[in-house]
Amino acid sequence: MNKTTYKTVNETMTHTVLKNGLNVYIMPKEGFHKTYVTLSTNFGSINTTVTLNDGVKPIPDGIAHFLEHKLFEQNNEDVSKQFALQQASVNAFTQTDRTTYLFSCTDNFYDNLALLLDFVFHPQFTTEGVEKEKSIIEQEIKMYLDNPNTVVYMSILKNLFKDHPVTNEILGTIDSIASINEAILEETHKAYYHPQNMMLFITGNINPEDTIAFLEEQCVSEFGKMIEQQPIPKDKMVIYKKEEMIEKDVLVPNYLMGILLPEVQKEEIMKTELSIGVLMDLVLGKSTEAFNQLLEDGLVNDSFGMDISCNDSYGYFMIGSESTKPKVLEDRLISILTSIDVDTIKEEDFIRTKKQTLGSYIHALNSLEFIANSFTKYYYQNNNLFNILEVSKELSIDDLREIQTLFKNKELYTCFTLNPKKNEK
Amino acid sequence: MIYNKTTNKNMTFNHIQTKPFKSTKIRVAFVAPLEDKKTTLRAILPYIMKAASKKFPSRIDVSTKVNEMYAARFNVGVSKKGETHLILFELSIIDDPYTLFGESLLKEGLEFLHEIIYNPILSEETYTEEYRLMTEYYQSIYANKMRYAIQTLQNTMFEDEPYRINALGSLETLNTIKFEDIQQEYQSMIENDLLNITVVGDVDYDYVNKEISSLFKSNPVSFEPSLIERSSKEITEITTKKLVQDVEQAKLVLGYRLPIYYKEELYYEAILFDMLFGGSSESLLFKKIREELGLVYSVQSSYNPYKGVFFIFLGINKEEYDHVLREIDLLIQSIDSTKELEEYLDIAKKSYTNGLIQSYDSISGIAYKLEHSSLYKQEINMEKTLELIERISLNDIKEVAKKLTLDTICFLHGEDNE
Repeated sequence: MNKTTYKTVNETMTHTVLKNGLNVYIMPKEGFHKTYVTLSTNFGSINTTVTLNDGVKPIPDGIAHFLEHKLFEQNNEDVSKQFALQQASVNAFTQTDRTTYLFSCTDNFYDNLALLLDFVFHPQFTTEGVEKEKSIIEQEIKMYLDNPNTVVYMSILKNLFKDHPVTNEILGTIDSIASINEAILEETHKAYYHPQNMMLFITGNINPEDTIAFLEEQCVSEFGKMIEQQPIPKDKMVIYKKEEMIEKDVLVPNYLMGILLPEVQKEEIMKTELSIGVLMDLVLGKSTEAFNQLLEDGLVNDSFGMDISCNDSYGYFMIGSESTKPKVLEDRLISILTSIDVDTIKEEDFIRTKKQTLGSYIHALNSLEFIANSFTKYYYQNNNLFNILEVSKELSIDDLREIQTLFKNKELYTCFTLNPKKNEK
Repeated sequence: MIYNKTTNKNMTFNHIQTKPFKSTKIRVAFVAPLEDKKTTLRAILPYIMKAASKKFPSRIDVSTKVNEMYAARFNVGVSKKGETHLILFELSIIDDPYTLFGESLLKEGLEFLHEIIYNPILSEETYTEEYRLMTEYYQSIYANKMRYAIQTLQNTMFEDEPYRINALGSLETLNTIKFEDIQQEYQSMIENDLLNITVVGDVDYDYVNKEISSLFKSNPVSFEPSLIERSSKEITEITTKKLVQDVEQAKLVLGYRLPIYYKEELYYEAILFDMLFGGSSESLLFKKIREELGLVYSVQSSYNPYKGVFFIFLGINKEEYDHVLREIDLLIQSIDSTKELEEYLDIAKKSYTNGLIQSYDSISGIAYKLEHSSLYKQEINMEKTLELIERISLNDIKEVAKKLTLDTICFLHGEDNE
């Protein structure tokens, strides 16, 4: 067990590894009533194979998400009922490279913690339960198909990459989930839900020492040796489709531009994402001339946003808005992004971005959910959430100069427009 | 938590000193009666005010100032409570120990809010921009099919009632307003509104109270806001509105009358009924319609005690329309004989308790609660609320169910040949 104090933000973290290999991080938050707990595995929609003693096998798209749903079934009942009776609310979510189970409670912390570990590590799949889940997920898939933002986001990913599994739908497709059965779920669980592959994060109204003593007592070492899983294959640095358009029943076009970024080593992700964020704030943030000109010219509205995603097997940047003039917006964005010149950035503006990073970070530390989820994200990048201020402090104009080159090549740009149906009003 | 409240003419100041957070939250609400045309004006007004002031004459200047204050979270918005409309200015600033040079952001933040509120530049140029943004906002609702279905249901069900008025106004009234109306509405807001200010954080009451009193102007106006809307209509038959659009999944919204009002008889019972019936993944609707019958992914109910109405929202397969309606009706009619209802009630109580306690872990949650209870002249007392919840019986829940009357159904679905 080791304890680290982060003086600048006035927080203390306790870390330990249980006998079965599970990493545990505990951060007490004085004055809070609730306790928030997440249990995560680095398994998501991006993983397409399982490796067990008999070799490598493909798994269907959407299985990570399906598994997330099905772990909740215990003794033919949804485990969330037991959590509710213990004054807790449980949930889970699947991302491209991670699945997280979580609960927040205001009573019975130890019972809830034991229940979380039990249901995530000990599945009880039934044929009937698996089949019924298919119709529920089918409705979930249809719900997202009606959401223009999701449609645009997934479409631009499919423009960016030809073969990379980051383009897989997290939910899978109606066809791909049809082939899921208990046997595949069990094998997948065995491969990716080994304690050594997972991380438990606890924050809120708790005592770290007592919690660790409880976990040591609870934790059983019935898990065999962890089998190394296949790494995610990389794709070529080539845009798959330059441009794509569809029509939907909407009134305002929805425009999104994607830019392919090189993959970065895990340890470098934090710095790269932070640098891109700072650079974009200086180029197209709310206090810039460029952004306000877009607004004045009627090219963007309140839906304007950007997304940065760096990973060790892929990377992309997205920017877009609902816009009545998507083509004009596109030309302007290309011209702005390809001509970024950090040497025109004023010193005072650059210094202000450091205040902004600090301020946003301090604000975010009020949220137990943010702390748990961000800490987990950086943990799987071999990094630490509490390094952000240090990394931000050391960021220089030279770092930004390096980042700006990523946006120079127009060949790495792609765009997607969701237009209103022509026969509509 | 130490709770303070002072009232001076039309101005009320609420304050809670609390330590777990690293920031301080300020909410300023301007409170006026809800009126159809005024609402659209009042909806666009704070966005124009937010864009420029005498000291910060452009959007860039305002935004630079906000970033200068360590990326303060600055938002404006509107909301309604019963027949009352609120214009809101919100600012969240990090506490001084976390700043790089020991700046005192609270004073700076309050002065910034004062500048935005009392010295705005209401220019025609900004008005034109905000007019466009507002138009595109209204149009974007059409792209969110569930929201569009809800909006259609509300326009139908409350055709002749104030509840129809959206806090953000409407495209129809937006098209009738002129730039000159904005200046007039601004004057009216400053002179005639009630002013409700809330500060939550690790800040001293006397200090903030002094700052607030010197920065914000109280006026000798007074009116009792109507915070609950009780108008209703006689329901002779269920109104059904069907819409055909290009969707993968049909959206079904049901609107019920439930004449039980905020903090009046059966209020907490109705809250628990909502939780038990469709308010969470442990609810009857979720278990029956989603888990048992596999008919939907999303199903949710919602109770509005400021109007006495109850809604159910579902995403379903078009073919299941009659089936789903039948099952929902059956669930309500047969609530008397529902198996394990006792357990559902127990879960609803635990979930409510969990949610209520957790709401005190959010600085925004506390600020909202404080403002809300101040407007409704209610005290904040978690223990007392939990006691009231604990006492609710199965019979109380059945009483609530008996008061439900289905008024309107809106069904948005794809074309028949799809």
